[in-house]
Amino acid sequence: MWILLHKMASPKYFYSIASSLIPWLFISGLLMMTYGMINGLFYAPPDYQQGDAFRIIYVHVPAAYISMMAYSLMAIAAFIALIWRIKIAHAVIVSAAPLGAWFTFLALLTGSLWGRPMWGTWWEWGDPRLTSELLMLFLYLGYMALRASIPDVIKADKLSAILILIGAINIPVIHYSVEWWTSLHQGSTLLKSGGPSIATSMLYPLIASIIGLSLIFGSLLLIRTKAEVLNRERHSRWIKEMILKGEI
Amino acid sequence: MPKRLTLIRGFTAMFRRDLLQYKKRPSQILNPLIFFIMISAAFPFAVNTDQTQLVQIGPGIIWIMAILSYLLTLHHLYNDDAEDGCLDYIMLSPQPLPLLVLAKICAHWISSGLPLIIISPIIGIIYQMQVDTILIMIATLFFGTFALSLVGSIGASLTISIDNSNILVSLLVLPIMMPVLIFGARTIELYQSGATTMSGMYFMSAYCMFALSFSPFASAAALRIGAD
Amino acid sequence: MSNRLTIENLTLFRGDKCLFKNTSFAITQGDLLLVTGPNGSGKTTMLRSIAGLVEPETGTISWNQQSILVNRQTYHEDISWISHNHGFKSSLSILENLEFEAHLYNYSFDKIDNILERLSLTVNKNIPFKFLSAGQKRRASLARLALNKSSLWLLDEPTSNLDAHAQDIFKEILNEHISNNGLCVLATHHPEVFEDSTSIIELN
Repeated sequence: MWILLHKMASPKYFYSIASSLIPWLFISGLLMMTYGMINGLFYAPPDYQQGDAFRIIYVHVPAAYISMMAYSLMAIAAFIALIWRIKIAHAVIVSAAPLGAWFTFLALLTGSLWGRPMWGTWWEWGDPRLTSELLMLFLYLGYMALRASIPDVIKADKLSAILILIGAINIPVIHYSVEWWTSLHQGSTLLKSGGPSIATSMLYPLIASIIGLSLIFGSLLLIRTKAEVLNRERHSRWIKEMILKGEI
Repeated sequence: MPKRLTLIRGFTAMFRRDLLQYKKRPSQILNPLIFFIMISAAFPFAVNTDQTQLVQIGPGIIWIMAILSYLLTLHHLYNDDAEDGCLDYIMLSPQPLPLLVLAKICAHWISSGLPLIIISPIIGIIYQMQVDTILIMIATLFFGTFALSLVGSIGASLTISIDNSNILVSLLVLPIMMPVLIFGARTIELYQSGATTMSGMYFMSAYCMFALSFSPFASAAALRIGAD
Repeated sequence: MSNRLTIENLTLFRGDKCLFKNTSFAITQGDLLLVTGPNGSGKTTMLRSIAGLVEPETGTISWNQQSILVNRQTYHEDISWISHNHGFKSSLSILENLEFEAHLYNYSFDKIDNILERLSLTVNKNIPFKFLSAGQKRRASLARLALNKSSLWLLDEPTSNLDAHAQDIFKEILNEHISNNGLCVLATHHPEVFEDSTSIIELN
């Protein structure tokens, strides 16, 4: 696996791997999402407290999970890019940012729609998890704003990578906010010692949704990164050859 | 025979030179202070609240205004040196760059943060705060401005080459400053309602220590990258 | 033990434009290297990359067989840098500026009066920098060279704004440095001014 990762550092190899992975990721993601959605929306029993309103969990939790995962991915890529100077990691960060921002927005939006029937409010300013998730949206937007202001690509890459690393402190804050402070959010349901505290008929569609949406996110990320790699390497020979052979 | 080049010499020289620079350009310090006073005073006019409400919203408003006016001072931290070429000499010095950055941050805090802290009781009085509450507010602003100097230095070092970077620096620094803002304002409110303030103070001092440990290095790294 | 600056396979980009590709050269004690070329050809960028301010796309820059990125402090102790901007605060005087830099660079001030006199700056040494003429500012910037005991001089257009007399003084200072086993990389529009150069790089 290390050899594979090492090869992925080369843009040309990455491009061909990504091209072959994308359909697999997308279709399997779509299948899992379909299973998750159908079972979650139609077949899972209604919650004894919330009735049918809880079903938004099948969109909200995957979106929130992906928003955090995308940022962690960006932080790891920023580390790789700055310490080991692997250029393609910068392309990954650039591509992941708008996706992560949209999923964060989706998490906040669906969370707000869920909060209205469940907690009686669209938003709760004292809640640490809501606040830190909103902060993460600002971190994404700040990153994109910084990139847009620096015309030189290499400088923009490195400076915004530093920014991402600084903001990475927010990830554990979001995750542990329900433990450290009192919050309207409930505590951990899935990653608890003693196993998940949710009924299996609700659990399996949830896990399927999370995995499915992550796979779709992965495929979208690879598509965007491919485009970004094309843009960055537009002067190199392997791209010209691929164009001549009609492979792009 | 030249004296040995020590870290203390480098730190104090950079610190004193920056202080001297701020002293020679008082408008750089005064303008944000006046902004702070004017907008904080304008709030009660706009919001049209009575006495009790003013006391409640006071801490939050003062904190936000303090942060906003302080953010206005940040862009002088490195831009002035970049313009006249001094930044090159600072970066090419045998002294470690994080040390010189720390000296700049301390000089910035003393010349921009302390005046803000000193002015804040006046605003506290506008918002009908008691004397002891004002003391708590000063304590929280002490940590807050120092944290903002540290974190703002990272924002400033990332945006040197950009024109009109004020707004961008604010955009980058505010998300990271939110915890301090929340704890700072809440600590004052908690004190007003009679609860203990020590947890908030501990948090803010811990935040400052944490920022102190990485901000000079992050700023130095950003300065070196932006040196093209 | 002679000092040596080695540049290997240097490739520098500015944005999308490649300034030079896989350039290699080396200079040692007593060498004066001129870097010439039209405006925008990358002279300043090359000097900045030798100083360590700009990271090259590929290539290594070594001072005495050690990469300059490895131990910046040792390298910085050995270089003097002169650039387009003077690097002086306009509200402080020449002396105050140099005193500040002395703490950063370990200058020795025992000969400061001689140097200022040689550069015709004695009268102006206590006036705020902003009141000096362009030529005086340039001469003040060059005063650093005599205060620092460094071997490698990296000079970007050091003679701009200097009249003929001041240029001669500067050439004297430069020749003294070179004959004292110093090294110098000098970027200039007018290579013909420096007839004693050991080698020339032309960028275009």
